Formats: sequence, C-alpha cells, structure tokens
Amino acid sequence: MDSHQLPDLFQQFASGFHHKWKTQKRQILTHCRRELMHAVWSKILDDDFIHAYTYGMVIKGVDGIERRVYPRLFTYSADYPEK
Amino acid sequence: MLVDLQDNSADGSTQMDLDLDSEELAAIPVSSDHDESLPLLPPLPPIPPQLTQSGRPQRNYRLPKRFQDNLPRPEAPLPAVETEPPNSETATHTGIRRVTLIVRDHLVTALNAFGLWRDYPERPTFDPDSSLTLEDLATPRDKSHPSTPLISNDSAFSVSVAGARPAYWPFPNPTIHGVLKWLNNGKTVKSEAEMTHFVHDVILSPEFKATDLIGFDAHRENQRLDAALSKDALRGQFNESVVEILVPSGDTSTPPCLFSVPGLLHRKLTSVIQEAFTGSLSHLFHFSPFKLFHKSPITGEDERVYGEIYTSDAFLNETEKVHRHGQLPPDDPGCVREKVVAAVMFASDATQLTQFGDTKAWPIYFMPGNLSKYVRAKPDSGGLIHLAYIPVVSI
Repeated sequence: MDSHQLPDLFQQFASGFHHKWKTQKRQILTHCRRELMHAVWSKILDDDFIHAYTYGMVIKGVDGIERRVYPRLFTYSADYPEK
Repeated sequence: MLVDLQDNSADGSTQMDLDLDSEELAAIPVSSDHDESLPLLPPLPPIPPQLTQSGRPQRNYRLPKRFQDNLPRPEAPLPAVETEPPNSETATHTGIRRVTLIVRDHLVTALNAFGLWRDYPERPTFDPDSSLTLEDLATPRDKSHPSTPLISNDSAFSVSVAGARPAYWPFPNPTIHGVLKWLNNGKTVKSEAEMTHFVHDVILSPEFKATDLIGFDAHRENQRLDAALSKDALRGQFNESVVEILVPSGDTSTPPCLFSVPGLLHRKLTSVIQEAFTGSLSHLFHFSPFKLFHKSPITGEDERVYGEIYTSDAFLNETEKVHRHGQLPPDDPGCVREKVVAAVMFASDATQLTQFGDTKAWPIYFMPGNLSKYVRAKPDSGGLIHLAYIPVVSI
C-alpha cells in the first residue's frame, strides 16, 4: 500500500505550507492526525447510518421476526493517535 | 437427604390429624386428591431408609470439594408464555394505532444453579440463552474431543457462504473438495498421521468416487480455489476512499489547505450491523435487556451483577427510550415492529503486522454489545468485525 510513502509526502507538503514548520512540527502533526481521525469517522458515520440511528433499521432475526434495530454507540476504546 | 424425608413424613402425619379440624385445614395448602387418597390406603409406613447390600444404612457420599467441577450453566429458562403480552400481538398483526398506555410485562426468572436470576422490565420476545449448550459456555480441556463450535469453522473454504452453494463449492464435485481440503489443511509434513487422515477422511468417505478424479490436477484446483476466494474475499466488501484534511498554514492571512490522504479502507457501517444481526452468531444476540442478580446463599440478599452491556443500566435506559420515543421513518409511519437497540462498540488500535519491519495496520473494529462478551471475545468466534483500516500516518 502506498501509505508508507504517505508520511514523506505529507511532511513534504506541510513543511512547505506551514511557515512555522521548523519549530511547531510536532504540534502540527498532532493536529493533522486529529483531523484525519475525524475525517475517517465522518466517512464511517455516513448518512445511511444517521438515518438508521434516527429511524432504526429493519432486520429479520433468526427467529423469523423482524425488528426495528436502533444502533446506539456504547463504547469507543481507542488510543488517540496524537500521542 | 434423610432429614428431608423425615420432615416430609412428619408433615404428612400432622395433615392427617388436622383432617378433622376443618378450620385449620383451610389454612394449610394441601392438594385435595392427596387428602382423599389418604384414608383409603393403609397407613403408610415411614419410608424405609435405603440400605446397602450388607444391610447397613446407605450413606450419602459426596465428591470432595476439590474434585467438584462447577461447569458454567446458562441462566434459568424463561417461564413459558401463558398469555400473550397485552398489546404486542394484536398490534403487530392488525396495525391498529397504538394508544399511549404503557403496559409492562415484568418478568422475573427462577434462580439457576449459581443463584443468579434475571429481572426483565419487559418480557423478552427472544431468549438467546435457551440455545446455549455446554460447549458454548466452556472450552473442553480435551481438545481431541471435537466440540460443536458456535460457528462452523469447517475450513478456510467456507468464506461467508451464500445459501445456494453446494457444500463442495467451488470445486466440481465432493471428491475433489475432500482431496483439496486435505491438501490445504495447514500441515506441510507428510506424516503417518496425516496419511491416516487422508485415507479415512477422504478415500473412505462415502462421497469419494474415483471417477471424479479423472484428469485431476492439484495446481489447477488450487488456482480455482484462489480465484473463488479472491472474488469472494473480505477485501471485496471494503471500499477505498480518500479522506481530506485541512492543513493549517500558521498564518491568519493564508487560508488552510486541503490535503488528500488516500488509502482509507472501510465497510458500510449499516451493512456491518445488518450482517452481525443476521450472521452465524445472531442466535445468541440479546435484544431485551435485563438486570442480573445474585441471591446470596448465606444472607439471602440480592445483589446486582454487572458484566454485560445488555445487563447494564445504560442499555436498559436506552431500550426504554427507544421503545417510547424511537422515531419511525417517514416512509413507514405505521410500523409496529418491536424496537430494539443495537449496542455498537468500536475499538481501534494500531497493530504491528510483522515481527520484523514496520508494516502497520490501523484497524477500527466493530463489536456488537448484544452478544455476550464470553462469546465475543473468543478469538475464533467471529464476534469482532473489522470495520475500517485507517491510512497509517506514522512519523
């Protein structure tokens, strides 16, 4: 996967773009990783999921009964990528 | 045991005495036919103590405590439904508009062997624990004794099997399937045991036909398997996306700039939930939350037991909220299906893929909280689903 080249590409871009890159590199990268995480979640929690969250989604169980299933987020365990 | 029996016979005699006192009799709950039969029979001798062959009284032998194995047991089964819950049945079939009268069908189960009992705020429509077997609850120590697994992990061949396929998919016949299964069973050494397996499981199998193997070529069959798997594999369910992030310029006069990060692999969350709730573990899913209690054998006090999402207050409250206020979609405002909560749990952690080198993956996992953690956390249960792979931005 091309993700290996990604850091170089990104750092190349950011070092040219942000004029305080030399002194604030760590903070800028932290910020961008946070942005990335949020961008990823905005892709995952798409409109269909929001629709299902609001109105439920009809799923037929193994017992043959259809139920309206409302997804609710209970836990989210992750290490924050900014560390 | 013996003490119990004596107690019973003592009770019996007092009942006979009281038979004459009509007013006291009414206070004692005695089954009536038992009473009627008593005067007809000759007085029952006290139940003879059980004797051993040598004529000595039988003693109750107990296995010493250190040899007792407390196998896990499911909770006591739900009592059978005598009457239908008041509003659900009629409502489901006729689609009558519901009146906002909340009828609770509160249900309490009996104690199980460990003194655990469940308190359902509402009668569940489905009891997943009724289908639990001992094999589901415990891992047999003797691995040679095959247990029936929760899901059939029969082979690497069965990848999300669609219903219509024959069991020997993707091969043309069961014989080749058997041979290839043996070939790809992970054992690379030609051992005596492997040969014995081959003869017993493949050649002596009732499905084995020598004519099926005419023109057989192992290489071609392996290629067939590879092609089928790559078409069917998990990778196909992932979409690849580009995520865009705003990179600040560090200067208020220059607006931030979009930077595209390619390589996000993700599956559709709704289809993942759908898959989990209809998949091979869905018969173990809890829809109805309950409070789990333990009755102390010493003090007799009930103590709340916490352990699963579906016994937690959060799940109970959320189910209550969804039951009462769960919105119905505009295209189906008269829907009367039971409303249940899917407890979605996410986890994410960067993972080192190789022992040498720095190949990393950063998956986001999805776990259904409706499934017991004892099942979900088993490594081969399939209870943990990969939802996405975040592009690795390592520094």
